[in-house]
Amino acid sequence: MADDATQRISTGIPGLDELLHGGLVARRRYLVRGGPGRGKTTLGLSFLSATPADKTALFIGFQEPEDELRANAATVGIDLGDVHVLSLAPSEEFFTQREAYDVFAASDVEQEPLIDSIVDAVERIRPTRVFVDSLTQLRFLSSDVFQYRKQVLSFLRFVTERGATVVFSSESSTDVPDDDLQFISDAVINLQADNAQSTVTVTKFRGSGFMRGAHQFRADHRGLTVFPRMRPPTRNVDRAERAPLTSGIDGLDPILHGGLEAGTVTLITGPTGVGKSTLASHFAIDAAANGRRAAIYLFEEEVDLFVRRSRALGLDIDRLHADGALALEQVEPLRYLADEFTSLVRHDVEENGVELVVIDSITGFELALASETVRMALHALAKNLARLGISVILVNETAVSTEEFLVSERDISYLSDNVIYLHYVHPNGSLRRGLGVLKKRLSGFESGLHPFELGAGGIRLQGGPQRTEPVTDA
Amino acid sequence: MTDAPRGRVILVMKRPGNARVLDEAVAEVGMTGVGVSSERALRRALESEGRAHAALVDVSGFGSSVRELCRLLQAHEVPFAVLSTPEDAAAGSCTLEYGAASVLQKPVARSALLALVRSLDTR
Repeated sequence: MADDATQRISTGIPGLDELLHGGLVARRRYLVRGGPGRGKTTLGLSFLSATPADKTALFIGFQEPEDELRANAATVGIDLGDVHVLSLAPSEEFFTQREAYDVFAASDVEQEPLIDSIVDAVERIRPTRVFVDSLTQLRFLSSDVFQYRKQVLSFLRFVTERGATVVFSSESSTDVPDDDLQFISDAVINLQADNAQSTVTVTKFRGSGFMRGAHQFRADHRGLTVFPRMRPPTRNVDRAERAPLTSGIDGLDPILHGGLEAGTVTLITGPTGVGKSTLASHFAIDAAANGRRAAIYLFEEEVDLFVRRSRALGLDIDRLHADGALALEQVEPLRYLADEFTSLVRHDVEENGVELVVIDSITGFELALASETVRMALHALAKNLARLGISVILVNETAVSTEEFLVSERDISYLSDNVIYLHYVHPNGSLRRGLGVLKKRLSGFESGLHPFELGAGGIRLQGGPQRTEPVTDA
Repeated sequence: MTDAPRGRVILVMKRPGNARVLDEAVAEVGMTGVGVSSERALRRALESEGRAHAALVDVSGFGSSVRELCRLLQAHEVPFAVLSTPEDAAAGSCTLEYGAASVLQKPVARSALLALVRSLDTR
């Protein structure tokens, strides 16, 4: 039985379904474009393998013999078990028996038997899903552009009128443009790649909304995984619904006029070794201890080292970590794509109820998720989490200086609702640490530089503000 | 197809792929293709039982020996057409001296070639 024409059907790739606002509309025509090796075939095979057990799927291919196709699908975790395969790839005899010809044009010789094969397969199998890899091959068998377009239109109509949803690929290039196929299709899915990342972009979807823009995807032994860029929530959470996050450090929360408001982005900035990560840990531990889940994403430090260091400072991290109230996630370099990481964070927020997200540090974030879009991803992540009422702490390292400092060399202070700076000061020739609040959007704060010590119990403020440093905002 | 002539067409050509597709094409109009790729094989085909009604000669790969092939066809009064590439144009045109009905440049339109073969057959 054919799918209902108003029904959404899965592409077999959850992230892509999300971009398509729930999947493909049944009994329509979908073009997957991209250069060689971009993942077009894997996408199409995922679509076929997602066919419900009571329905049938047909692969029509021009390049690989069936056994090779099934073996290749298995290497990317796709089981083509019940999928019918019509391989129109040339046999080895074409080469060994010198079957090449030049007396007729290919369109005069190949087209008719090829169409007969397809018609026969469709009539016999009655598939509800068809993937053609690729329709570019048909272009070479057509005598001219007009014939090609007419033939493709006719073929797609033939298949969809028999109840199937058709996905077809195109090997787009400047030499062989596929504008005609884009016009014919109901939706166009583009797979692109450069040295840093692979992205999927939907540029057209008749009769349906879709998520615009480029979204990163990973192609590996598990097939294609698409990571939709975080969308702004449909409504902002009323920040007043949630109490501010406190640090638990004596004297600091009053300086912040009660703490960090829920749903704000806080930048903790300062030179190396001054105590930025420890300060962020204070907020995370205090939140977790008060029943509000926190997650710290460690881009530079290993979880073991972080735990040992926290223990050494007397911070109660083990119990909270074991209880799951405080999640520690080590992010190894190049393990995640930027959008993949934001998907992970979103999952922690939506599924695990995390209320405070700590990114330690921005430098590590940039290095680990090597991509030109990292800053954009950081912006989207922080702002979208904030709109969901989730608090974000970004740990940022600046150059070492005891005279003056930059809030950030990365031009990201605009992103922050709150800025807490940690600094080295040297009164009377001794080197000491100081903490100050530079910015707080939702409340007032105590200005001035507050000396503190880093030792047993973590950060301890020492008395009131002693002096004010000159500040230069990058 | 009911009025299609039924005859033998000798396909003189080196490339098996061309012989195959031409054989399939002439079969569609009710004729039988007989592929030969050497002078000896052509002699055998011409001397075998059953008159050859027409021949198609693809000059590619035969070099100057194509003249002898054409001379044999002419001697046996088998009407023939010649196929050549632009590179073989000289070899192709010399076959006119031996009575080639036409010299066509490859690739040819299937329908046009079949019409030509049928017209040769009715001569």
